[in-house]
Amino acid sequence: MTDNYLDLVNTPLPGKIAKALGLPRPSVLRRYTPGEPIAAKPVLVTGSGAGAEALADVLLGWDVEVRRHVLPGEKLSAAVVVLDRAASPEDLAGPLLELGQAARVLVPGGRVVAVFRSAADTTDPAVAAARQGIDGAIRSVARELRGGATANGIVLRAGATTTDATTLGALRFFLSGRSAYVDGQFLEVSGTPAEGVAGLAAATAAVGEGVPDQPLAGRTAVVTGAARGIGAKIAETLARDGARVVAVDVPAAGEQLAQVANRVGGTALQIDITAPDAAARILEHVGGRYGTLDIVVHNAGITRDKLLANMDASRWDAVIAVNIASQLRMNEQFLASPVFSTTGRIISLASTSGIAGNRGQSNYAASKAGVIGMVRAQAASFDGAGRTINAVAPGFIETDMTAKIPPLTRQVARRLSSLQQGGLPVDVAEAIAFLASDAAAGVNGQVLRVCGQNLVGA
Amino acid sequence: MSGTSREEVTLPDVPALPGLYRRALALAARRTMRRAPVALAVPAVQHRVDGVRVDLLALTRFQQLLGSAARDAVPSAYVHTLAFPVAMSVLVRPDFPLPLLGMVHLSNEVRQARRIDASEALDVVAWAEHLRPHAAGTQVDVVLEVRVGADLVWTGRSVYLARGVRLDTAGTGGRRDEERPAFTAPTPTGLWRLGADTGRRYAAVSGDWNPIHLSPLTAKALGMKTAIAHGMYLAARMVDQAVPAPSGPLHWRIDFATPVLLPGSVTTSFARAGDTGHRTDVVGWSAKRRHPHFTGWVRAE
Amino acid sequence: MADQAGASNAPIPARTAVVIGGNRIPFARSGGAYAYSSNKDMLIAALDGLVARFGLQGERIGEVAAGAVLKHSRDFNLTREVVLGSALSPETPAYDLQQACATGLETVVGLSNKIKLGQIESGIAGGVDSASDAPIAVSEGLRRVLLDLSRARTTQQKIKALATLRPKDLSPNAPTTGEPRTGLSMGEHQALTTAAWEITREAQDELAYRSHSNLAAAYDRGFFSDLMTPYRGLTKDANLRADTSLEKLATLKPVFGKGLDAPATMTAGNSTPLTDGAAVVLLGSEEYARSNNLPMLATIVDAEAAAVDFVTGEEGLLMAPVHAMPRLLQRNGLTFEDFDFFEIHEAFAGTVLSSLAAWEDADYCKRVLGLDGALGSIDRAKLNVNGSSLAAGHPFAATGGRIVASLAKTLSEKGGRGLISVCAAGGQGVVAILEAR
Repeated sequence: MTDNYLDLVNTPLPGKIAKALGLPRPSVLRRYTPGEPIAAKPVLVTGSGAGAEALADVLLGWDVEVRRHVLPGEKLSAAVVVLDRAASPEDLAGPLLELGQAARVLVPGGRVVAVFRSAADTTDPAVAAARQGIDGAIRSVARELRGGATANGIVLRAGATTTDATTLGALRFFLSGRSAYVDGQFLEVSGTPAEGVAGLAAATAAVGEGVPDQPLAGRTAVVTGAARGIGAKIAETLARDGARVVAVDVPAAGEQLAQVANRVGGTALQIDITAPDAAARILEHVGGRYGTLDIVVHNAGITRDKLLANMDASRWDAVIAVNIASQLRMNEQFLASPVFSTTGRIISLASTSGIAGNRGQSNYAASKAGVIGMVRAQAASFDGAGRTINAVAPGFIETDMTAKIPPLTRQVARRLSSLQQGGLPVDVAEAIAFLASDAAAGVNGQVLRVCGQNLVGA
Repeated sequence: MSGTSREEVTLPDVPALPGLYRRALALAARRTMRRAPVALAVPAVQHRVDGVRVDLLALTRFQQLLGSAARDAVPSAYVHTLAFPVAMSVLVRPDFPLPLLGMVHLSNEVRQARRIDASEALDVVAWAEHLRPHAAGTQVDVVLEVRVGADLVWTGRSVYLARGVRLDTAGTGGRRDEERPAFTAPTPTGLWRLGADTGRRYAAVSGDWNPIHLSPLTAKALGMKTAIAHGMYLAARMVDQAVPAPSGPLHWRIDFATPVLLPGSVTTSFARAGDTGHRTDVVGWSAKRRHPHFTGWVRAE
Repeated sequence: MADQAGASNAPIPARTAVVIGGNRIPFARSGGAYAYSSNKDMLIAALDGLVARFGLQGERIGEVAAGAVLKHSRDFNLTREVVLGSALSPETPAYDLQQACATGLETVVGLSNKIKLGQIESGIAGGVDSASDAPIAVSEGLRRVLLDLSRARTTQQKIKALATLRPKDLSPNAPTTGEPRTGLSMGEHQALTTAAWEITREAQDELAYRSHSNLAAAYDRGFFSDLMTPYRGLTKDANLRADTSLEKLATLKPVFGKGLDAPATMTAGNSTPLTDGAAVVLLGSEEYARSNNLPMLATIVDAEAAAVDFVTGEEGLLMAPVHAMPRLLQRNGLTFEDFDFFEIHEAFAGTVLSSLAAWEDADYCKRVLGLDGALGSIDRAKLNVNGSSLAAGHPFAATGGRIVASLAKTLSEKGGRGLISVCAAGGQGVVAILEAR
């Protein structure tokens, strides 16, 4: 699906006209290409204290030009605001006003990343006010940034530090093109997931020695609903990052599924995920062919939209069966199987409809909100055990499905986000690939929105 | 061979069939005009052509039309095709008593002593004999002998019927054929589908452009209902299908019952005969009309 | 003079060849979903699905063998072209094979023999046929003119060649299913055999009914989910009539054998329709399967081909498997009792029933097959348990691959030993033994 308006305003003359008329001027987003530098221009690290100093040193170690202050006439690739020591709302002024200066000189596709502690981890009202204040400020910055730049936050839980492997993993994700359509979002990281778990060591090594091009090398990933759209892109992206992909879809989608599997060098498995033996067949296939199941991406989903007043049981049941009941049943069997890795990752597709609700989608929203509930509960049981489960909630993504939305509604939906455009399937896939990687070993039970900071459900 | 001695006429070359048909037409016209009396005896003469050569391209086309392998061996029926103009030259002699045009081919019996190679020069002798009455007129045997050097390699005897030409039965002592028994179709084993152009295509490879085979119009001009298949075409297919790879002596016979109208189809039965092993009995008939077109047998010896 | 590969010199294969899996596209009725798909298109679709199922992308397979019965002259190197168009390594060699309806099974036999001999480690066997996209030849007259024209050097020669062209030469020749030597269609031939063995209309309809109900049941339990990849919107065999009944079958008018003395019994319901489709099977040595973590569904034990003299009516056109069977069983020291599944290709219901009747007929088995008595009877409950060609359709060269993959999967699920019988045009037939691992 192409966004013709986006293409149009990115040509010289129509661009000028749009500017004169005050029309939205969405930019072409900076997306990930393997081997890209972390930052082509200098990166500002603002904020005081040991946490900021240490983080600046790490960035220097990544061959990034680090500035502690904005220099006149110099462009910046990114600004990292370290506020881990903020103790009262008054502490925010310095670093955030510096960020304001930085925002003026950010390159197109620039990045703002705030690193701060969770308001939930303090009982001191002033500290909590400061921490929650950062949340509000960064969301606003995200709305102010133009030129495809984004602002996101890393929320340190409990004892996490600014230079923990898990913090750095999240930082790299936000700095990179992988997070192109992630805007105004906050990712909580715990500094010490599972003592001695391979994932942590790997994440540290990965960051310390520069992130390898194939962070998922040697992993086996199952992607459901992989025959088309976002699922196909997830399969491609995981394969690009080195994973062996088992592409799963219903038998009826077998032709496209085979093409996806052949494109990514994986294997195609035609099963209906609502069948009782679906997980058993996946485990049998993965166990037989690859030995271990490392990554599960629950992407398969359907919509059967109707106002609740007009909803029938078959529409409701079908959506619940595919979008959430199947995931619950399969997860239970995966987790009980020796084939599923002790550092296994489960990533479920939620939806902004599941967060904010959507007219005509009560069934769909129930299933997607259900996914969020499932992820949080399951994550608690994993805590510190090496496995993680997270959700990704896509906003308006340009797919065959959104192409069916009436044109005017579609244009409005696109411009509702801070990035003034719809996301691409690859944006969702990149977030999933990140959550599947060792760098996200400290991310568990999170719902990462890939929505360009859409107003819906904000 | 009958015991009577015959005068031999040696022709310089195999005569061209179209010329022979023209002669036959002219002869028929003369006879009609002059109403000359017909001698009720065949002339005691045999025609001879030596050193007949097989044209390989023509042979290949003949073999391919039948669907048989284009071997260097000359198909038994093709020898007849090669030699037939010599026989024709006897039949169009002014002293030959029966009118050639409209004569019906009743049967063929061929004894072939050995494989004949396409490179061999063939000496052909033809004569007519055994003029005798038939229920529907008068019949005559036309005999062809083919030699390679001194060896008699191929002998064919064709029986023709001149409808409506009556002999004095007392004078010749001939017998009338008894009535045919009712036809019972055997279990079919094949079906020949013959297109409207079957006669023209066979004419093109055999050189036998008899108008009764070419088109409905030309056939009607000679008093037929429509075009009919060449007897030798049916015979050639029969022999080829019964013994697709003949390697030695061959003996076969075909009796024509009713003509195969074109276009049309012939249901066929090929059956290995009893315990003799080497004989294949063949019947071709019309499944629709339930009457036979031909019966025959082929024995590879 | 007969080829006497009897018990005295039973084969001692150096290695074992196994069926790893299979893939086919759903079979379409002629002129249906694949009306505009070529043999190449369909075989690539089947092959790509197999590659996807087993992760063979970019792999150099030992050899790919496949064929088509109705083949365009431009597809002279069909299988190799298909490999080049597939996700396999372009360094995978391929060859075409054609043995009419036995093409698919014969490719399995040929490649498994190469595996047993150690010449290759892996192989993909299969076949494809399109009755919709069948080659149409120019008339014999036009063909000669065109050939002469291409040989002509001067303008004069060219004009001369063209001058021989007649208007009727411009109408094309479509292929027929008629036997070249007899002119009878396969259906007419089978009608003779069906009548000779006195197979009733009811028995034929019942076999057709079981074929449909067995195939429908196999779909219902997901049997084909890892044997089939949808294509062109088709997810099931288009010919399958899950709701057919004996009553419906009984209403159909006979289409073959109408000229015979015996009543005509063969209808469109108990004869296979013209079908489009493709099927492939992945074969390998045990070492290949193990080292690549691939499943081993069944072992390919042995196979035997036979041919009969149908031209002179000595035997029915499609009765060759009847002759091959005792030779295969004898060589392997087996009887029908030793088998748990029978896959007898349903060219026509009459073909299957005539074969069964022949094997049960002591007099025939003695007189024609040279046995001491009847070969034996086959338990109908073990016959074509997942349906066969009457329900699935019969894209000639694709049928062997369909049967081998389905039987191998059945054996992997249920265990035991399976027997395959496929008849073919030209009075030929191939039979084969598969064994569960």
